[in-house]
Amino acid sequence: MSIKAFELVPVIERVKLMSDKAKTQIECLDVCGKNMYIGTSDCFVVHYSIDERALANGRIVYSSEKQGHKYLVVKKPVAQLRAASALNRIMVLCDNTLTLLNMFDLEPIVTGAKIKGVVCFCINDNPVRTNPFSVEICVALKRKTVQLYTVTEDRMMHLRDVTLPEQAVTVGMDSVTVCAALTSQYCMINTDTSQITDLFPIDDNVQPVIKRISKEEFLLSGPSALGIFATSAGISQRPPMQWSDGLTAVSFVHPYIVALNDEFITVHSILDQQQKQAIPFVSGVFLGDFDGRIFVASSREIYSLVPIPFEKQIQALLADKRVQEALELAKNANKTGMSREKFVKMFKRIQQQAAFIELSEKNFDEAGQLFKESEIDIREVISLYPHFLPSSVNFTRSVPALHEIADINQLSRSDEETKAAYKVFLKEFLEDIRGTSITHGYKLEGDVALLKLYAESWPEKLPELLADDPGCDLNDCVTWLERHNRLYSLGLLYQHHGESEKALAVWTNLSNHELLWKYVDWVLEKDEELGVKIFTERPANEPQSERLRPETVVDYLHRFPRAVITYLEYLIFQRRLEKEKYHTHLAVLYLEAVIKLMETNGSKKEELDIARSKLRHMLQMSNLYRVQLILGKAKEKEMHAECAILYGKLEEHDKALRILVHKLKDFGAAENYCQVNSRGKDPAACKRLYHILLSVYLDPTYERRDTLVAPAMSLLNNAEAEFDNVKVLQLLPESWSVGLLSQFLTRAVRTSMHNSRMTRIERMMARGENLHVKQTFIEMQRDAIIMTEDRVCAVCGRAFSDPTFVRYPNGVVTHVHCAKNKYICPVTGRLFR
Amino acid sequence: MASRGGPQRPNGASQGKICQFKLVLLGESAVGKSSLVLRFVKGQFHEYQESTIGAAFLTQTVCLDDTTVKFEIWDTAGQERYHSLAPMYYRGAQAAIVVYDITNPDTFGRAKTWVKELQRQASPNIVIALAGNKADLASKRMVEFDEAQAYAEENSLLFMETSAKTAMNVNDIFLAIAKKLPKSETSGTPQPRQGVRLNNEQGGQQSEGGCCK
Repeated sequence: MSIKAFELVPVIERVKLMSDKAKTQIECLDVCGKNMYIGTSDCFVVHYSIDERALANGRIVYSSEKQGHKYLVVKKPVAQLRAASALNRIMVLCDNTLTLLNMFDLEPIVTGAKIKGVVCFCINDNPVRTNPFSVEICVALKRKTVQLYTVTEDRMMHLRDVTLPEQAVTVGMDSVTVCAALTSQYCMINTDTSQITDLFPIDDNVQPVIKRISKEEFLLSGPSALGIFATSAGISQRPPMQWSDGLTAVSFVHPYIVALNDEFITVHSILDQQQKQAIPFVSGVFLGDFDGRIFVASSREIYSLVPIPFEKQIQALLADKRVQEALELAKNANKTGMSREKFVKMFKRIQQQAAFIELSEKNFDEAGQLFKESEIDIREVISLYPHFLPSSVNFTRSVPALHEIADINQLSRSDEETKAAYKVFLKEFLEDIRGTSITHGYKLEGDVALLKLYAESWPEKLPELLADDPGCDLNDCVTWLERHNRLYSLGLLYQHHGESEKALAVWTNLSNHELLWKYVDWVLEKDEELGVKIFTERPANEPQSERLRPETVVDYLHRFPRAVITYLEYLIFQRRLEKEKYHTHLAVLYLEAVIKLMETNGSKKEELDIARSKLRHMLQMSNLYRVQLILGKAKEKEMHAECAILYGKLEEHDKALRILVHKLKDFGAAENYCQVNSRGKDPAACKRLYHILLSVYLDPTYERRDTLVAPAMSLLNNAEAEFDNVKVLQLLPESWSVGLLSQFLTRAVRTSMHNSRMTRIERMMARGENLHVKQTFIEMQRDAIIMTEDRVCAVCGRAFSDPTFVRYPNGVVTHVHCAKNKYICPVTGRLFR
Repeated sequence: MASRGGPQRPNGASQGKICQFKLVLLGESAVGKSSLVLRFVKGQFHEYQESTIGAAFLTQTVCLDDTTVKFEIWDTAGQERYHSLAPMYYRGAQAAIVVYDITNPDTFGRAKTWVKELQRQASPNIVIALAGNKADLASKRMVEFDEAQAYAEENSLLFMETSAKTAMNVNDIFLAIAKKLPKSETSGTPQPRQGVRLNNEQGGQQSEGGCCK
């Protein structure tokens, strides 16, 4: 697994010297601000100024300009060279002699401070004694000794010696500890106590490398090309790194360890000790880091290893879905001088990106953990689930996007099982964070999503959620719960929002009838009339169910007299059930109610009237109850009005009308009776009814018939009553004067005249219409036909020579002689007539 | 510091304290050091465990009564060429597990050498445990239990026969070590760097003392 951590950028393409003939090769270099000092194989020190610029596209380019050079006369290669900017000096090791040069003009220092017999030296980057205008160095001598010096502008002051068992080949220093590679082994030397801690032996074929990487910690090249970490105490605190063979130099810029061998520059991470990048680089001679900048040189060229910005590296890792590495790198990004606040923000964002990657990889535990740690805006997560955000919430995902996931449909490729797994994740995640600070401000969103999830797949959890003060709003939760038929919970939701009416309405709609039965008792005991709505206000499209068969309900409701009436009313008037049983039942119940009222003394007249009118309405409206049963009871109680209706139902109009006229003397009702009972019947039956009424009025056997003359007359004069005039004339008593009847007679004559005239008009109008239709028909059939020479007869296929031809209504054109029958199309055989 | 603070402090005084210990595994190659660690840390076992390069580092936390013990485990490479690196890893360690293979008497001999080296070079207070691994291969046993136990008693080592494959005694041996280690007042908020440096100082001073003897 690799990552692009660095980019090789040329700094100086070709080191220019005075003479091109000279086989100048780079041996070592140092960079100090904009100054670059190069030590060459032919004893030159060359000074360049380098300039680093970032192009608009973010790339870094270098420009360089040679400032000067100095020949050191000894004809030996420059082995080591370090600039000490505080002193304006460069320390140069050449021909085993360490000398000082002026940093700007490269001239030797006149005091002639120098150390002879030096194998190598190093600067103590973490000195104990802190004089800003001095530099502490450690020098390894040929004669099995390391020496410490304090270097000032013009002097090198000897501090102390430590005698070694062998000559040191290379040294590093931190605080009071010198880490040295002796000829056979590495050791840590405490310069205060002169105590030497052996580390491990150096293989013959390995070039010893010592690199100080942090306070009191060095990186050494160990056996089998291992990079071994060692503290000043001689302890390894990090696992070793596997390097390639033939390592010559190592640099460190957090968190990367860069190593150079003959063919490659390799980059390892100090975090996981794994190789991250390998850059081909042949014949490299020098590698060094200078204030966080890494420079690498071959014999004639110098390059810079420009770090790819952390953010970019992390994004690249994330793009490769290497979440762990990205997070590890991100955790260490705060060591690059980012402010705490900025770092936390960046880190959280990366965690969130990582979380979405884990999610897309179905690593739900990791994703959940990361979401939590990064305090994700839960809406980001919920928005992956279509329709799970409350519709009232206007949410757009963060920009730039944290992920490229459209939704879980895309993630699961519409595989239902995977989708379900994602939903399980969301459920568990939301349950997990419910009530924690992450949901702060988004309780609504979280709870609504949970509610929706539960509604879909975990209905048993809904009541618990709803019982526990959910932040759910009503809007789309309601539709969602309805869609999934979680009506019981919907009821709870309404209840929670204080809308008991609606809650009841919902429970009414419970399609789970088992559940419904659980609540009915409670509701009915509270309020019969409201409770019965559960049964009466069923959804129209509800499938029939055993549990809710009307019989069952009626049986059940027996205990609740008012409820049963309401329910039966519902069955009969609204569902229009045509079952004798219910109709009779209701009629009987009405009747009983009336009787009860009649028997209770002091009951209000209005109540009784209402009850009776209800009964009457029922009796009138329905044709299905057992008339005889009711009639028996009604007669018993002398309820004449009801009896009249019942007789009417039995088609015993005569009896009915007699009751109305004789017993009740309610002539209006009698007329009304006729009107009602003739409704929807043919005029003859209608006339018969009125006739019966008239006969009742004029019944010669009734002893008080004089009293009925007036209603009879008013009936005759009633505009709505219809009579067979002839029969009426026959029925009328002889004794009545024409004057008395004049109004009726006039009307009768007029009506018949009117009828005759109307009929005539109708006839004429029908005739006119007929004519009109005929005309339209002919016009519609008429159509222009264009005859040309190339038109041929549809029958014989020859051309038309005469101006005459035949066209059939379906457009077929033939010769006259070819049209054998003008009513039959000769081509299709269709008949026109 | 660890030994100074530990015993005097009553157990109840600091509830939920966290102790951090450096533990190193030593032994001949292919005796199952990495497998023991893998079993202890991740509960896994690989029939073909790759040989360790240099050393590997893992951590595992165990709870002991009211103390959380965090093991920083250094799993060293058993191969001869890495032998010279071992001191780098056992320096400053408070505990060591020396592993041998009960089916291979040579590894038992090597284990004894390791024990000697530890007694000579490592921290004087180091808790050493001897683990006779591959106990599942009892039919091929070449090192007798009693022999190893006698040796362990003689050198006051913890001793158990373990099997990374069957997980037998794996957690037990780590727990036994945890029990035997002095529980000092390590900081409640563990800071690896700091904690280790304290240990280093301790290790440094003590090895110094050892040298003079």
